[in-house]
Amino acid sequence: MSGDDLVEVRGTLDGEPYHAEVPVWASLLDALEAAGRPLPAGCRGGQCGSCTVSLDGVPTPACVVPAGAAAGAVVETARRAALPVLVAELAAAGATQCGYCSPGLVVALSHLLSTSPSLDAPAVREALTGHLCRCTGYEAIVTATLAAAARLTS
Amino acid sequence: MAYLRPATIASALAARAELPRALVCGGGTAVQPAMNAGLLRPADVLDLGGLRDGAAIDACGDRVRLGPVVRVAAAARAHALGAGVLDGLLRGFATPAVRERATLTGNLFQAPADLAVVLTALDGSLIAAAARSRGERRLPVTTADALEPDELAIGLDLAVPAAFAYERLAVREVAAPTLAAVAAALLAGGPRAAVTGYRTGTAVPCPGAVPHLADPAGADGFAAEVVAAAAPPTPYARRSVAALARRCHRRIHRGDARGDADVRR
Ligand SMILES: Cc1cc2nc3c(=O)[nH]c(=O)nc-3n(C[C@H](O)[C@H](O)[C@H](O)COP(=O)(O)OP(=O)(O)OC[C@H]3O[C@@H](n4cnc5c(N)ncnc54)[C@H](O)[C@@H]3O)c2cc1C
Ligand code: FES
Ligand code: FES
Repeated sequence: MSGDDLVEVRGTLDGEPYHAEVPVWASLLDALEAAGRPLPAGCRGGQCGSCTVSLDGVPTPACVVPAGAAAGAVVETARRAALPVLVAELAAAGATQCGYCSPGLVVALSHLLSTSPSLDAPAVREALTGHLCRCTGYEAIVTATLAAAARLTS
Repeated sequence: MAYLRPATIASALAARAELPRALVCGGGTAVQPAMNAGLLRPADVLDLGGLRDGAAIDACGDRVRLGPVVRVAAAARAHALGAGVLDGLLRGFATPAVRERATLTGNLFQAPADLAVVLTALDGSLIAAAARSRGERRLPVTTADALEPDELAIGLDLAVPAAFAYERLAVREVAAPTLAAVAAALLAGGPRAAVTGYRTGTAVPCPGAVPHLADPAGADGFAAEVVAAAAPPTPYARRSVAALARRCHRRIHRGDARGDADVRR
């Protein structure tokens, strides 16, 4: 990314201030990488969901957000946005194999569980649209999310 | 080199006048992937995402005006076009996360633009403005490329339908490009219909289909006119478009034509 003038991005990442300098055409994904916090990145086109973060409370693929648009925003990765009950259920159900998709979909599913705790399988599948998992076949992820929802509401 | 994120439409128009070659960005869901892939390397970016006065949804009688950065998901949640009208479309549009960022206005500058057929059936227009002139001008939603270099789209003007139906053909329900789509609406000014043209890939109004849309027994005539407007290249494509049109007609006349359009394989 050298040879271009840089824009400065400052915001909050997992509760701490962060700072990055990236070209005007760079994404939030690039800015987080420049700040020393790379995320899994598959497509860089908003299609695989692996780079999903919580951006001001909304699950968002970091690769579709211009870095400059995230200046001042609160960014949370799975480190901070993950619901422990979901992580426990995913582990118990064997819903993580290579783990490449996991940080992104944990952000999206934690948001789903926080905003609508009583869920059914179609709602979980809808939330998984845009998250590609090549290993699990999704069933274990859906089962684990429903189990987490049941624990949250019991 | 600058990244500009104005807070008001007036300051965005001033920035556009000063930097007419800057890449305009709404939600960024189309331009950022293109920048990631190296297809766009703008010297300057004009990001409209921070417009405080850009996300308003203002109803006025049987019409609604949407600001330039109204997001697709927000418009659906706010029932901007009436309860459920956008639901059928949204089932097949992008992904939940992308819908939260993507703007309706930005969609019309893209090809293919799935919203164009819906907004054409809703008698929609793009509202354009420039800093140099005080007034606004209106363009058909399919002519976003006719904007002057110093203009921005500052909103959309649409009719709120009394009934609406949308049908789409794609290889899968979600995350698959639209092969063909038909939208039909009953508006205060009369019925309207639009179809995705097979040759052009853009939305085509179907004025010849309107009398058949008004007629409960006019499904076949409606389908024939819609097929003529879409000009599908093969018998299979013609049958598919006709089937979509008949479904739209049926929904409008069954009285359940509010957004519950199914996505057809
Ligand atoms: C995973 C994924 C799935 C997608 N699925 C679909 C789909 O199913 N159907 C579909 O139609 N699209 C789809 N898209 C494309 C895109 O998300 C949509 O077209 C979206 O509505 C674009 O809106 P935006 O605000 O993000 O546009 P941006 O990327 O910000 O801008 C798009 C274009 O509009 C111009 N522009 C934006 N606002 C203005 C303005 N106010 N004045 C002048 N010019 C302006 C920009 O310069 C650019 O040329 C998808 C994208 C992704 C990443
Ligand atoms: S890398 Fe961002 S969605 Fe695939
Ligand atoms: S666990 Fe390997 S991609 Fe999902």
